[in-house]
Amino acid sequence: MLSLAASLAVMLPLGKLAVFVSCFGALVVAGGLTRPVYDHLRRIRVLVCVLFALDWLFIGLGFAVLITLRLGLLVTAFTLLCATTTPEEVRQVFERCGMPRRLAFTFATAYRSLDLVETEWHGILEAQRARGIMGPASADPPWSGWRRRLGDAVALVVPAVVLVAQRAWQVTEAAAARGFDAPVRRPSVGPRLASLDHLLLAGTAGLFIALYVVQ
Amino acid sequence: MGEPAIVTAEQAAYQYGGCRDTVGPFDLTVQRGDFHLISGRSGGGKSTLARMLSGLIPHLYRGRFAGQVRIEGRLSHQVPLWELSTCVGLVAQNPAAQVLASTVADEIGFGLDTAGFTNGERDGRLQTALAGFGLEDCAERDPRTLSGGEQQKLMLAALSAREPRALVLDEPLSMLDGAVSRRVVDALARLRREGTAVVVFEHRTRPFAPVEGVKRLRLGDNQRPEQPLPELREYVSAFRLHATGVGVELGGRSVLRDVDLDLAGGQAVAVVGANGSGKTTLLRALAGLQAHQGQVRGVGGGGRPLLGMCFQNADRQIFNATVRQEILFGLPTHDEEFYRSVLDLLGLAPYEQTPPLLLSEGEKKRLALAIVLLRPGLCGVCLDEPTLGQDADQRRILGRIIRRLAGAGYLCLIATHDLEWAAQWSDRILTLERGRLVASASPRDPDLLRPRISWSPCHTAAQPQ
Repeated sequence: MLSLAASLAVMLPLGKLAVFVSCFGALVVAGGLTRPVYDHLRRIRVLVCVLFALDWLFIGLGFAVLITLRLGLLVTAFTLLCATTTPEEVRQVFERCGMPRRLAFTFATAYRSLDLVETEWHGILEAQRARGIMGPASADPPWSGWRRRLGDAVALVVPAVVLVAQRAWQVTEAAAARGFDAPVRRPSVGPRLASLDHLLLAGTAGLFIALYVVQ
Repeated sequence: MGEPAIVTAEQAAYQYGGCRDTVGPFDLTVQRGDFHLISGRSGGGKSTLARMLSGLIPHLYRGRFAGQVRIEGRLSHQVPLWELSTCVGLVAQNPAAQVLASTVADEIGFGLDTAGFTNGERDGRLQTALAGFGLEDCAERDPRTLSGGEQQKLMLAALSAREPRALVLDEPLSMLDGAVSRRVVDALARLRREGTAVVVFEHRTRPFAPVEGVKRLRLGDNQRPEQPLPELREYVSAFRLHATGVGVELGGRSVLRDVDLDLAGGQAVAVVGANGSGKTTLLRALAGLQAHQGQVRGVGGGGRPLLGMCFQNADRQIFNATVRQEILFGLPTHDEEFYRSVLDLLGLAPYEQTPPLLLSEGEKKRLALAIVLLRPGLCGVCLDEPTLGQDADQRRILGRIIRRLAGAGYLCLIATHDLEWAAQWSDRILTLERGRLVASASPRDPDLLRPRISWSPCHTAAQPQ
């Protein structure tokens, strides 16, 4: 809910967005979610700073603040979703919405595999660096740089595609070996909400409504 | 008349789509209480037979299936896969790749949900499985944070909770060290005592010695004759590598602490220790791939000796169309004679124009070694678990290659779980425990093969790749 509100709030004008971000920040702190949000924002700090500087330089301070807040909010929304929602909950929600089980499982597995893909990607980067690929710029003439960069990209993408395909097949076999296609299946138990969840939900909904009522 | 067989394979053979060779034919009968231990060389058909016994072939694979497999008397290709899965459970080779859920409890529950148990039955079976495999304390843990041994036990728990009549396991010990292997073998022996038939496909047969009444079978041809290995055409000048106070912190946790080493070119040094003891981290630090505290320097002229790293998963490096292109990629120049001698030494000459992705796992690992050896100025190689999943032939070939490289003056550092292999082929064995170097012994030390690695339930460890 908090993630959905944040992703919708990016459309607000600057003043309301600033109010939303303040309240949103308080809810994030109340929910004990500061650590994952901080980690993700830290990863994009260089991009945010560059964007802010360029927007300020070419358009204006107000626009730069607006774009920075929007970007930060979108990243935070995704971080919150990942930090608070398990793939099983995603699958259960999809199934409750009427999505076929096979499709819901595929989405949930893809969602769960996001960090696996990231891990594999880092592993590939390290493995290729260890053999001298993706290293610092060589003494090649500048016009040959694009060929080297293309080779480097292939060196990363091909193993990534192969490894992801291998992993997908292993998951398929594991699911099939545990009767995934069985026609009879115990109905899913929905996600259980704690009192803090109710508090956050109520706070977010209230905040969202308040902003639009004010508008 | 005896009890009917659970699984019967009669002249079962399979030809994968796009391949010329047929795997099999195989004959096997599995009855209640059986414990089959099936070994054989890599590529001998162990995984294929495991898939046929569990029904994944022909249901999930689009190749040519010949002969027949009967599961509880019914032909496997005529029964839906989900129905077969209630009778025969399959645990594939890499437990980490089979994780389907975000918590240990949900992982076990996945198979119970598909079996259609009521809530009461499901919870009862879940608790029994958690208790039976000592996983109660990690029920809410993410399976990916468990050690390799715990993951293997989780897969056993997830399958056995469905109470299949037979369990098929494809190389269940390939990623485990000695002490954890013994725990998994104990768990399998217990399942067998409870009436489940167990079929294990495994290179390493010694850990199963304590299990009584094991029916042993070997697939494929016997040990291949040894070919003489050629010499390398270049030698590395004598050098020493001196490491003092090497330490690594990852995520606020001390993974490696105060490691002091004095190593010389021409040595084969094995690094052993439990999962998560810091073996790979030590190699990465020495190879210059991991930022670390302390100092690593060369002694006797020159700077820090260049050590190449061969990772556990060779697929992470492979992307070219042929073996030759793969080895020579990115090299500004190369010595063709040295390249040829490396190919000959590693047995890759016949595959020079073969797409690397079509090589066997053992060949891929040797290809990764060839890529490293061609790097200019190389003084040594670090190999991370090179024997993992390799049959006896491949492990022996690798051992002989290591000896040849050491003979040519290279420093060979090998992180491995395989103490027997290390004792046979290395000059020195370093033991790591929780990031500390606790022993440096000769491979002839009689205490070496004694179990020394402690094991505790639900401990967190580095993931096997």
